[in-house]
Amino acid sequence: MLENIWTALGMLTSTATLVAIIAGTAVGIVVGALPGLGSVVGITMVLPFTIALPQLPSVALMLGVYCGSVYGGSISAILINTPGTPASAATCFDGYPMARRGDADLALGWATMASLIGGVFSIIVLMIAAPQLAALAVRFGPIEYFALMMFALTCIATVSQDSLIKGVLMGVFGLFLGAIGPDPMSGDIRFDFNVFELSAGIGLIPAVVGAFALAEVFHRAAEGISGVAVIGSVGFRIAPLREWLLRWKTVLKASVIGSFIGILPGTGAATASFISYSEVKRTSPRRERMGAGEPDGIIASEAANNAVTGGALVPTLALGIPGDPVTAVMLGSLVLQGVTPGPKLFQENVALVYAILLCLLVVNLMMALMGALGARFFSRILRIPEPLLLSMVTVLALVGAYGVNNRMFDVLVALIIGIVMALLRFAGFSAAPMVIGLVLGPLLEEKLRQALIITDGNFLVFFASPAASLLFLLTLLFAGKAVFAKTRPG
Amino acid sequence: MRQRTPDLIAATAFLIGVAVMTWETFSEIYLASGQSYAHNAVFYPRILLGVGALLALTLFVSALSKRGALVQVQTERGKRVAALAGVVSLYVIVMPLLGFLAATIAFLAVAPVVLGYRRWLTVVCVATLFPLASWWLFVSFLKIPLPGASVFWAG
Repeated sequence: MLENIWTALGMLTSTATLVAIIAGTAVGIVVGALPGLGSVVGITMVLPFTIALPQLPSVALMLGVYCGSVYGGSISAILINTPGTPASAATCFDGYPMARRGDADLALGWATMASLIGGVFSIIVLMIAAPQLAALAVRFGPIEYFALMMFALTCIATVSQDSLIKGVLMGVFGLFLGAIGPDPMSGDIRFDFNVFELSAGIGLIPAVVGAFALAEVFHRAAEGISGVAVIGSVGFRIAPLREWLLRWKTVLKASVIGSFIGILPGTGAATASFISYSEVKRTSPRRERMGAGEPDGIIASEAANNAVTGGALVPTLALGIPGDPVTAVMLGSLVLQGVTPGPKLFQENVALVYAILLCLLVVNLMMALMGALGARFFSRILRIPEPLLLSMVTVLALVGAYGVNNRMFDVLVALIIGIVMALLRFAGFSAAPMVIGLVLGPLLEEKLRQALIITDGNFLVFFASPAASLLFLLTLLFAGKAVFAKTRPG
Repeated sequence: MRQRTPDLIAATAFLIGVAVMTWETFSEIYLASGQSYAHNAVFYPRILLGVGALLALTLFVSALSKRGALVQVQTERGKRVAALAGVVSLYVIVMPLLGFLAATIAFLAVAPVVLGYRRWLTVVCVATLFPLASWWLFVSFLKIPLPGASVFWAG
């Protein structure tokens, strides 16, 4: 174990990795602070860079963007009452009132330190939970894996925003997109319509670029460009230690909620921050002041949303199953880098796993440092005119689509999916279920058909496996819960 | 336009797509595929198409059953999005012809204007500097090739 840790430290201290951490965190904070972009767009924008970088710097870059963007949303939430990402929506409730009474620097201090603590806590959870889960999953066969995939697909129901039918339909659409190209068992080419480039299938990166980045640009263009009123020039201030000690239970509670919600498929940082906020509002001794600039509100939201980052990596690294759309994109990018997440990663590449954990720790520290030193700079970022920003995002997104295989066909795929997704968004459909379906689809089919070979085409034998039966039961419970939640009145 | 109209259009589009793909699964090229579930290349896609058809039909019927309020169509917004989509499409089409640099300079000169930004000096600066910086970063520094020009010169 010590040898692996030393190797990991050696990998971490390379110049490329450190530069990637700094750059990724900075880009993430900026992207997170700008309302409407979000973590997925941020990761999409750095995808071209991950192609050129070695393994660990590439992972470090994505982790930096992920953690930085989740934290960055708090900056605009506090300064302009508009969350940079949905994960910071709850931060508005207390962050903006605090800023309006002249304590914007203190609010940023609370948000930054809470994000750091939540992020570090989730790394500890990741260190403990991921190897255990991977050790369990090594014993999984195709039947168990198929059942696990079905459970993971319940996250589609969770990320379906207003309409469950629309969400599941988009999920099925994504699963079908994943079936275009070579059949995983026989190698037959499916649904290529004699287009040579389609024989390799629809790439995940071009699809994500189109579905998130381009569709978001078109959607923002439709909403109209508005100016924002930014609260003056701000600094950064950390509250005295006694104020933190008064709130240690809030910090711990929010970190625990975020970490464990992150592990569940489909429940992202936004869910964690709201659940944490409502729980703290229920139990905090200062709950009457929440909603009017009470630090407990900021801590509840920010510790929880950053704790999700480590939690979401548990199923991603241990099982190869993404916890949310952000980790779905990261998963695709990891595979491109030759890192195959799953149980084998913990057996064959332990040093890389430790290196990723250490990266995450350094990213969180870097995020806090940048937040503290760069508060004035980040508040100025909010003044970038949106038309310029959207145009530059479009360029970077299309470069990302091109850079995967150096094919204009991928750029065309991104454009078509972007236009289709933008139109579907106006009809109330969302892209997240589609991306999850696209990521999970090929593996789902492979495991299903392998399982059918083993059982000689008999579906009933699937239930002979206790682990598979338990997972099917959990699938039914989660799916039923989602249906009940979406269909009950009010 | 009624509130239910987008749902009806989307459901119809999905149903048409499902019909086309289902037709495709019966084409001759898949006949040589294995007969058992495990070996048949179109077994899994057909399951998805069946589920998709059911969901699209459910959405269609659900939308039909609601009368829905009348909503005003925001034609200005539609025009802006259509114009931007047109500009981005043109950008993708001309990129392999003119190369990344020239195409991006042209795109960044036009797109902000389409989105309503009118500070010409800033547009010119961004349209010039951003593509050059991107070109340097990707091609020279990261060694990621970008599309060259096929029409005039090798980019």
